[in-house]
Amino acid sequence: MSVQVSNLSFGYPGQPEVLKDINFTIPEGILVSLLGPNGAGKSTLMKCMLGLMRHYRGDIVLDGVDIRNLTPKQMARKTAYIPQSAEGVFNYTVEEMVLMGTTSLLSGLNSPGKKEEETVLSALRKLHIDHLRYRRYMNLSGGERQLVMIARALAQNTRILYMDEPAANLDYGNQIRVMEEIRSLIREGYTVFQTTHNPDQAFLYSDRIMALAEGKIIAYGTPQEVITPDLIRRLYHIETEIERLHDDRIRICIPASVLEGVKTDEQRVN
Amino acid sequence: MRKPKHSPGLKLMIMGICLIGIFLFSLLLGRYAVPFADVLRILASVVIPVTKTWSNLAENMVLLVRVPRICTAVLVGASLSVAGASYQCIFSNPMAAPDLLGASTSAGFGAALAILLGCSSFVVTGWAFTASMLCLLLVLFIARLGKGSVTLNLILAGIMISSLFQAGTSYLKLIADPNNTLPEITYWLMGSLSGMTMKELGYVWIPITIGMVPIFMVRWQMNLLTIDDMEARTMGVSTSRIRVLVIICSTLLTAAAVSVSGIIGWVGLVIPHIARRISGNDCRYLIPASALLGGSFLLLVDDLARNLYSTELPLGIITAVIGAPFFIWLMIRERIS
Repeated sequence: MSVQVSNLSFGYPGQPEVLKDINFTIPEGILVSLLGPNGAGKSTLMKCMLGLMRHYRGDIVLDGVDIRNLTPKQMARKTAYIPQSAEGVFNYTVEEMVLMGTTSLLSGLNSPGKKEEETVLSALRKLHIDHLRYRRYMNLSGGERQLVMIARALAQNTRILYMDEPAANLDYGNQIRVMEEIRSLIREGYTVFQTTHNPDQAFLYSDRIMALAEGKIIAYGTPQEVITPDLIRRLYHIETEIERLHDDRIRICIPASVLEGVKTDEQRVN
Repeated sequence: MRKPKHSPGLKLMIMGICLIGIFLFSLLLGRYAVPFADVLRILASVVIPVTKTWSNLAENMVLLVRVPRICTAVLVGASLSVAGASYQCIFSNPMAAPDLLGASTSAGFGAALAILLGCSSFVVTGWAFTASMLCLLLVLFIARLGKGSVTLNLILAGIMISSLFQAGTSYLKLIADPNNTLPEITYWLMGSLSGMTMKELGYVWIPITIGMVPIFMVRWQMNLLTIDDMEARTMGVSTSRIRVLVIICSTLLTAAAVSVSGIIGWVGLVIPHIARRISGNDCRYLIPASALLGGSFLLLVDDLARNLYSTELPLGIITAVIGAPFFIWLMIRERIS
């Protein structure tokens, strides 16, 4: 299932445009990371693509269908959204939480039953968290909660997943675990579009990088092509050097200030 | 963690059996003693022919005095609890109660006005209900005018309108005759089910059914109102539509309940909390559990109200006296565990 965005512009009423003439296509089965500074319009772009915004100009097309022609329920059968795990008011069990994802699959105002519970169980198994089934969501660790959020989206039975910084607020180990699970979803054919603040993570896990600044896409391509010291300077106004490891199979960003700091520290210590 | 020991369906069934038990027990209570066997026979005689072995007085006592009162108590308790549980979901706030949007205070004003004008108790009920519905319309209208979060606007509009009606009631009490209408108003505001007849019951079940059925139908979707609105919409739920529907229905329930019983606090707050502890937060089970527990609770409270002293005690006082300490106990127990 592919996503096509053409000539997309959006502004909140009475305010300057947040997104300006955006064009891109996301092919099936890849992980695209959206990089951009705070306020660049990342979440607005994602909201538009999820069909949560009205009054945008241009077209967003899912598998040949303009999303304007889809009801919320039809939309929810095509795309799922994975938020950053947050505190809720009522402490639902993991099973109940993930069952919520099946709502769009129910006809009319029906309640989920045995069939949906099976869907939930297989989503939990896929992410290796079926042992959490009867635990309460808010009693889980941050990493477990994030996996539950992903399971909820899987239970929605869509092929496209939108994620809002899935690894933010997680400790290092959980970040890696969550990203590994996302990678294995890509291998199964899911299409994932995520926002991130971390260029290294984009390097390590993404197939494509999209860079958004001041409401415009300034770069879109493979991490090797797109992530350059120049781009990082334009996005975040800091100087970086890019190191190539393992015969350039892996790249990482190192802030220039750190490299200089290391030199002066060496001189001071010696 | 293992699967919970008892399924939610089983728990609901036990609550239902308890309600039936309390219902039958309540039929025995009262100054005029009717033996249990006679009570059962009298009840059965309504549907199937049974040889009459009881006095007319016993029959009237059970069918025309106790049954309407007991049924009303169950309906009122269930309505207030379901309305409370629904409000808690809509406003994602465990402290929300059925009177949040002014449904009770406005009903109080309507009733006070009708009592002042010398209307019969049946007309008083009608006025209370009308005032309560009028208040809902006002709150919805004002909330639409405001900018920003609809939920917040609703709560603010509810507080404002509620305080206006409160002021109106105070004024009516000020000008009421302290020898007859003032005590009547005061007593109404404290809540009571005394003097319930088949006539009241014959009317009150209608708005209660109209309010209850849609809530039961959308109760799964109500779960999604408690999480972030944007997330719920990406799961295909039209949150604003369901929210308005549930607000209207639960206010209808509150208005219907309060207009027959007067103002009864605490039930709509305490019962949903107990229901949450027993059957969890999933509204599929929470809503029926609230209805069953609320019905049982108010019925027991009404039993106390009519049997504890020779004169009737107001329900609002008993629910507060039981509700507040119970709530404190729940809070402390939670902290310890």
